[in-house]
Amino acid sequence: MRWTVSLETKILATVCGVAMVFIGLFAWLTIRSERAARVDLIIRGASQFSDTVKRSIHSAMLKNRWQDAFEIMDAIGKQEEVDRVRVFTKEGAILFSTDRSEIGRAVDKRAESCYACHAAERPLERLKLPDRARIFRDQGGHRLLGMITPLYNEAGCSEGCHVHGPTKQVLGVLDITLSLVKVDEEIAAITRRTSVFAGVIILALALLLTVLVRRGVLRPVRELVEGTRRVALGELNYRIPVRSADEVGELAASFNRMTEALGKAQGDLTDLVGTLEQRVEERTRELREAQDQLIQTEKLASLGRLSASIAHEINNPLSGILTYAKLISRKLRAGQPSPDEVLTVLQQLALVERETQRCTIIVRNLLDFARQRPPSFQEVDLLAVLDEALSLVTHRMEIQNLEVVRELAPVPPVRADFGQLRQAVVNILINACDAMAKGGKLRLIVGQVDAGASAENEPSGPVRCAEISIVDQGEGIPAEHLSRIFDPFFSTKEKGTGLGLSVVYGILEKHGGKILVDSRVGEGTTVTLRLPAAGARDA
Amino acid sequence: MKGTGPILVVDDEEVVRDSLASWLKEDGYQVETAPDGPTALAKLGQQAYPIMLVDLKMPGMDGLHVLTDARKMQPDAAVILMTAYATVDTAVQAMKQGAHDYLVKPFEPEELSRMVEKLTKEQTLRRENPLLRKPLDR
Repeated sequence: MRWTVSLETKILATVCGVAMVFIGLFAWLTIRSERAARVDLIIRGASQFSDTVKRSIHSAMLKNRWQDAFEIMDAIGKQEEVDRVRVFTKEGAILFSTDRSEIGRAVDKRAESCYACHAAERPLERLKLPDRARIFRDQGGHRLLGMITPLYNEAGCSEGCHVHGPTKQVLGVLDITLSLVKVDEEIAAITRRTSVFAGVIILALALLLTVLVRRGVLRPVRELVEGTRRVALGELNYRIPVRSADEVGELAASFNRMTEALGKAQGDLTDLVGTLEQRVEERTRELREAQDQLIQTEKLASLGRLSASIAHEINNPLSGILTYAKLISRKLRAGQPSPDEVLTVLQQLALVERETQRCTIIVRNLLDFARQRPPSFQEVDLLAVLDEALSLVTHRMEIQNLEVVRELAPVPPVRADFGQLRQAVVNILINACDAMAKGGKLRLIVGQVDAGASAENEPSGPVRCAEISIVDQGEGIPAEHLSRIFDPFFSTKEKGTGLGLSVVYGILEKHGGKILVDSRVGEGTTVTLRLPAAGARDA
Repeated sequence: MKGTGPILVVDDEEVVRDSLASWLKEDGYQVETAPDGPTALAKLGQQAYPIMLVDLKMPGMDGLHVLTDARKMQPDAAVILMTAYATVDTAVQAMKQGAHDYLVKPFEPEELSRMVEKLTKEQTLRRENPLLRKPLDR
């Protein structure tokens, strides 16, 4: 929220600063003109006052009654705002002053009071009103207004009596000094009032602006920021309240429209992803079904490859059964059998029974192998898998004169579908038989291993594995074929489907295991099926 | 007692061997059995077997091998090959190597009887023929 605070500060500082400058300037100008007006007024008042004094003493002066004039001036000088009243000659000799100590002394003509007239070589005789007034401070620091009024030579003066000749224009000067304390107090009061008013206005303006800015700008902006944050967090249903029809309101509205569009787009996307996931799931299921179908098909194909040995295996007991049946029926037809013959017949019937059961087991094994069923994963012993696989292939090995060597060690159980694993082993066994058409030794090795060092795709380190190796002394696989043996439909056999190893690969992959093939042409092939022990991956 | 010598039945399957031997004995023949090729050839070295019944597929030494060796040892012997899984190939090959006949398991034992009887007659005729000729030559 630092940014909003900063914006608020910026706006308020700017507005208050501008308000302060302008209102301050206005107040200052007001105070100045007010002060000037006051001073102007007091000067006019002083002039009138001077005139009044002049006229009051006029007749006494004409009649040379100095004492009367002095008394009048004394009386006037006692007024509160009058600081001093004095009269001096043109040359500066003080004739009268309310300050008695001054009488008889001379005024310095270059001093401030006289300067207005006597600045030039020849003194001016007529002065304008503002030039007759002067403002100065006394020792106490109070302001005083001095007003000089020239006493001009008039007809009555020169004619009547006395001292002045008619050529003189100015006979003397009346100098009245008024105290400005009152006026200054008023001015100070005005200044204070104006300043206070200005301050109050500035404060009120600032307050008003603060409220307006907060309501009109900062709150919508804060709501916008909050909205952006919420939307960024994925809350696409969030709407910013639209409070006004101005630009800020428009911004909020357009933000809401954008959020809505975003929500819609995201909804579409979610739908699309959902559909996609559904389709992927569907396809995966189809693929799995196809794979299961392929495994089943290949299983039947491998049964086909075993058909010769299966036929051989079944036809032998059938042959015995048939012969014994015929023989017994022939004996019984020949007449009453002797007790010896009955015993023989019974022995032969026992053989028939045994052979029938043998056939039953073979057929049951076959059907069990061929049956299609959903894969079910459970703990499986590799030795049992090998046993069952061998039951289907042993006869084939026998009639092919293969020497079978078993090197079996106990192994940890693996988590697997028994049927699929058996199918994989049968496949490898049949391949080994095919490779050893000229006979040889077939080693079947079951054992356990900690795979990891040899397993390249094992990030979690060595894992306890059970494995079964089928080592034949067949013709071997040429190097150029080794890389393709797991490809579907790759086969070097006349009647091969090319699916055998590809299906074995698929089965092992499904079980989290792997198939390793090592082969040398003319020496033989070793195929190893390696499966992680049940629970080994979790541990 | 039919014929001049015993019939040799060679099969790795005990039940086949014994049942056929019983059947042929019931027919009145003298019968001996061997469970594999080497045993059979050993017997051939000791005695003449005018008729032999040999299984084609046996562990160790197969029927064709026994056939070839038997033909060398006893050219007059008639060999009937048996197989539990018939293909034209094996039949042709068997006949080429001098087998007299061919049976596919499971077969009717009567057929074997007929086959053996026919062969015995032929062999008797062949044996009697020179004897009958002798007076004519004189």
